[in-house]
Amino acid sequence: MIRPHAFAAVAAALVLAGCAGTQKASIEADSIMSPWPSHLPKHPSEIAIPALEFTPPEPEIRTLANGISVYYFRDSSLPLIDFTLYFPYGAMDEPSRLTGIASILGTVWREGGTATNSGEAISEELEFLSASLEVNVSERTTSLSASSHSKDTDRLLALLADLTMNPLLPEERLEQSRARSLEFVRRRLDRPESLASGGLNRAMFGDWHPLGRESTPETITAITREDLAAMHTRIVGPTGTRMSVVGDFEPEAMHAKLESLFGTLRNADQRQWKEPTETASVTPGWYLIDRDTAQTQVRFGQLGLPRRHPDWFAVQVMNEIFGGGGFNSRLMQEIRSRRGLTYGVGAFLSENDYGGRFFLSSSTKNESARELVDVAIAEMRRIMAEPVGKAELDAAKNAMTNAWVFSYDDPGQFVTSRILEDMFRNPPERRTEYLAGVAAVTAEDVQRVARTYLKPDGLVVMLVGPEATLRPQFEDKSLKPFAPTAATPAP
Amino acid sequence: MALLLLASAHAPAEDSLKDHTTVYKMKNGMTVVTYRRPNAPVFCGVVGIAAGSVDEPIGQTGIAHMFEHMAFKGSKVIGTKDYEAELPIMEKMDDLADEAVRELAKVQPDEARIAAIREEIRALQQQQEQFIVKDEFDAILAENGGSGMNAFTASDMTAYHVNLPKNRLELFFWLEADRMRNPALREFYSERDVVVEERRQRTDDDPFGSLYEAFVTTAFSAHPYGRPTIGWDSDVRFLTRRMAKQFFRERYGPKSTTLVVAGDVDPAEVKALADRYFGDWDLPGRPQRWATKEPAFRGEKRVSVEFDAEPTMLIGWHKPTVPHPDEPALGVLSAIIGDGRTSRGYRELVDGQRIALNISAGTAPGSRYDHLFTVRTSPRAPHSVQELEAAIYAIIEDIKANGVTEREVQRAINQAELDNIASRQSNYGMAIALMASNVVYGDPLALEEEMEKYRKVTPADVQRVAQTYLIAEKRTVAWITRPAAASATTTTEAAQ
Repeated sequence: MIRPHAFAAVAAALVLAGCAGTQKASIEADSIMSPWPSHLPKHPSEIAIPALEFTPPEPEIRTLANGISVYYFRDSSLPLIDFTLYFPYGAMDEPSRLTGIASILGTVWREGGTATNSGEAISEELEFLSASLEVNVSERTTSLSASSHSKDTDRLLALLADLTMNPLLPEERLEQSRARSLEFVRRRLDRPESLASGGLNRAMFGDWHPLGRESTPETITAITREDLAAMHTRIVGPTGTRMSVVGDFEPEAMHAKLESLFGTLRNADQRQWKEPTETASVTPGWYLIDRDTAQTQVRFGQLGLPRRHPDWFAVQVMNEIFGGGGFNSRLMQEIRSRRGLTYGVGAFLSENDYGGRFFLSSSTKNESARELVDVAIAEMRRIMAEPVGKAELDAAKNAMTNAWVFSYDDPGQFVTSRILEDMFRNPPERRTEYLAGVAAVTAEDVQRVARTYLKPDGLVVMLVGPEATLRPQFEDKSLKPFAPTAATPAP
Repeated sequence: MALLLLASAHAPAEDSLKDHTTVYKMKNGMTVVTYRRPNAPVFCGVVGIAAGSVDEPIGQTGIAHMFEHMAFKGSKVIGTKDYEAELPIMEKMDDLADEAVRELAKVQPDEARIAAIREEIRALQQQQEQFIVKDEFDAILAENGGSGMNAFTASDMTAYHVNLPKNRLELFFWLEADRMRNPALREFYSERDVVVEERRQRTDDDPFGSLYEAFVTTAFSAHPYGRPTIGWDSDVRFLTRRMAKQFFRERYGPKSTTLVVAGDVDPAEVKALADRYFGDWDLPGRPQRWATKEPAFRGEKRVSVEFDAEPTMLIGWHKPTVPHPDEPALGVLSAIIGDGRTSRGYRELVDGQRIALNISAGTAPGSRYDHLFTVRTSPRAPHSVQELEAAIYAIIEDIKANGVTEREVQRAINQAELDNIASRQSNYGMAIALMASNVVYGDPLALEEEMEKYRKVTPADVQRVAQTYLIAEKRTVAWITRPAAASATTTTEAAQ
C-alpha cells in the first residue's frame, strides 16, 4: 500500500510545536480553527430560549353505527389522504403449529384481491395512481392502510372496504406466499444479528411460546387456505375496531361515506386480543450460536415491566439514563465512546402482556466479547447500587420533556399512537400528564425501579460468534450450544 | 376513465415547492435554504458538505467518514475542561500515529512497535480524559429536545442533521458554527476503534454489505467511486487525526456548505442567524472535481463473493449523470424494471416465473459523477443466480426489441409526481432532499426542473436508453456464493 510520504515532514514540524504547546500555545501549529466573532455568545448557555407555545392537537373521534371508532385529523396542507383500519386481533393468539401465518395472511389477503377486484387489477390501478393499499398482520393487531392523492379518495375507499371484507384468499396465492416465506426462513440464517435476536427470544421464552416462536419449514407448510379464512373471520368485525383518517378531506361528507362503507359491518365470530393471566417464566442461562464471524453479537434478556404499571414514568427515565438515551446513555458512553468496543449498544425495558421485557443488544470484535459483557453487567449493577446524580437525572428528564413535541410532528403517527394507546387501554394520564409525570421522577425512583426490574444475575445471554475464540473467554459461564432454529416440532 | 386520470395526474400540487422554499446565497459562498412547514413547532436542521468518500486521497479511504465522527467530539469550547491542556497530549498521540503509518508502509513493518504505539496512544488517551467532558455536543442537543441527531457520509457528501423544537433555532446555529469553526477532533483514536467495529458490523459480517463493496469496487477501476465509503480495513486502522485535519482544510468551508432548515421557521430569522453565525466564516476549502472518467471496458466485469449465506446478486451498467439528457428516461426505465408489484421484474420474475424472491432497481454509488444503473435481486431456491441473471436479461432484451407501453411510462411519472408531494410530509426528508439537490445539481430547487424533464419522457426514449446503456460492455455483475466448506448448520435448514 502506498502511503503519503509528506507525513514524515509534518510530524517532525509538530514535535517542535508540541514543545511550544507546553508553554500554553493557544492553538496547534496546524490549526484548522477559525476566529469566533466577538458579537456571538461564547457558550450556548448564554442563548435565551423563548417559551414554546404549543397546544397539542387532538383527533376528533366519532363512532359509526356498528361501534367502529373513527379518529379524524384534517390536514389540507398537501393533497394527500391516508386511511388505516386497526382490528384488535393478530397472530399472538393463533396456535404455534401455524407460526408464520401472520405474514402469509397479510400477503395473500392483499395480493389475492376480491371477486370484483383481482389482486393484479388492484395493483395495476393503485400503482398507476401512485396509491397504496397494504395489509399488515402483527402480533396483537391487524391493520389495513391505504393512501393516495386526495382526488382519488372515493376509489381508494371503495377498494379498501372491498378488500377488508371480501378477500378471496385464493389457494394459488397461498402457494406463492408460502414459497416466499420458506425462502425468508432459509435466509434468516444469513445475518448474525437476526440469529442473535431470534435466538434470544427462543432461549428466553421457549421455542413455541408466543414471544419466542419463529416460523419453520414445517409450520409454514402446515398452513392451509381454511386457516387463513378462519383467521380473517376472527379479525374483521366492528368490536374494538378503530380507524384513522388523516389528510385532506371534508369531515361531514367523509363521515357519511365511512358510515355507508363500514358502518354495516357485523361479525358474531370476531375475536379480540386477550391479556394472558400469567407472566412468562424465564430461566437464566448463557448460550452460544457458533458462527465464523468478524464480530460477536451479544444479547441480554430478562422480563421487564407489567402492562399499565404505575412505575412506567420512572422506568422511562431509568431507561433513558441506562441504555435507551442514544449517544448519552451510560452504555454508549462507557462501551462505545470511552472504550471503542462497539459501533452501537442499547438497552430497553418495556412492558408487554407477559410481564414485559428487558433487552440489551450490541456487538464487538470477538476478542473483546467478554469485556463488553462484563462492562454492561457492571453498568446494570451501578445504576442499582448508586443513586443517579442530579445533573444526569435532569439531563435525561429535560431530553424527554423537550423532545415530547416531536410526538406531534407527523399527524399520521400521532393518530396511530393514540389509537394503539386506546386499544391497549393504556392510562390516558401517560399522555395528558406526560410532562408532569417525567418531571416528578426522583433519583430514588430511578434507583428503586432499577433494583426492582434489573436482574444482572438472572439474565439470558445469547452470543453469536466463533466458539474457539469465545469459549475460553467464558469458561466460568459454561456456554450452552444453541441451535439456530427450533429443535422441537410445534405443539 | 384512464384519460381523465391521466389528465388529473399531471396537475401539480396546489402550491409548489418554490412557494415554501427560500434560498439565500451568502457572500462567502455558503448556501442557506429555508423550507416552511408550520405543522408542529419544530424544525430539522441539516448541514451538508459537498465532500464525501469520492474526495479522499489514496491510502486514506474512510477519512471523510472519520471526520464526520469527529464532528461530534466537540470544539475548543464544547467537550473540554481545559482545551490548552489537551493540546500537547493530542500532539503526542498524533506523532505516534504518524510513526505507525510510516512503520506500516515499510516492506516489513515492525509489528511489535505498532502494537506498542497502540498502547502508548491508549495511555495518552486516558491521560487526556481528565480534561474531557464526554460527548457534551450530543448532551446539549439531547437535553434541548434534539431528536434524530446523527450524520451520514456518502460517496458524494457528508451531512449532519438534528430535529429541534423551534425555540432552539439559535442554539442550532451556535452549535453548527462552533463545530465548523473550532473542531477539536479529540478522542480520534478511540473513535477509530468504533469505526473499525462499524466496518465489521456493516461490511464484514453482513452478506449484502460485502457484496455491495465488491460490486462497486469492481465496477470502478479508475474513478474514485470505486472506493468503499467506510474505508479499507488497513486504511481505517491507521487513519490519523492529522489526515482528518488535512481533509477538513481542503474540503470544508463555506463554499462546500449547504445549510437547510425545514419546519416551523421564518426565513428572515434563518437569514439573520446565518449572517450572524456564518457571515464572516472564511475558509479556502472547496468542492473538488475529478477529471478521471471510468474508461470503456472491453467486456463485462464479473465478481463472486464467498459468504456463508443464501445467494444475492447485483447487476450494474455504467450510465451518465445529470444533466445528461438521457438521465430522465433511465429513471423511468428503472421504475419499469424494478419498482412495485406491476414492474416487469416483479410481474415476471417474482410473480410469474417465481424464480426471484424480490427485485429492485436504482442507482449507485452517487450522482455527482457518472455512475451505475443497478438491479438487485435474490433467487428463490432451488433456482440459481445464473438462471435469474438470464431471466433479467430476457426482460431487458424484450424492452430493447419491443419497447415499453405508454401506460408503463405514465405510471412511473405519476409515482415520481406523488413521491415528490409525499416527501413534503417530513422536515427531515425535505431538508435532506434540498441539501442533496444543491450538492449534486448546484441548485436546491433543481428537483422541480428534473421533474419537468421526467414528465416529458416517451416510450421511445425508454427503449433507446435501454439499447444504449444496458449492454454487456457497460456491465458489472456481482453475486454471493457459498464457500464449499461452509458450516453445516446453514444447509440443513434449507426447505426444498
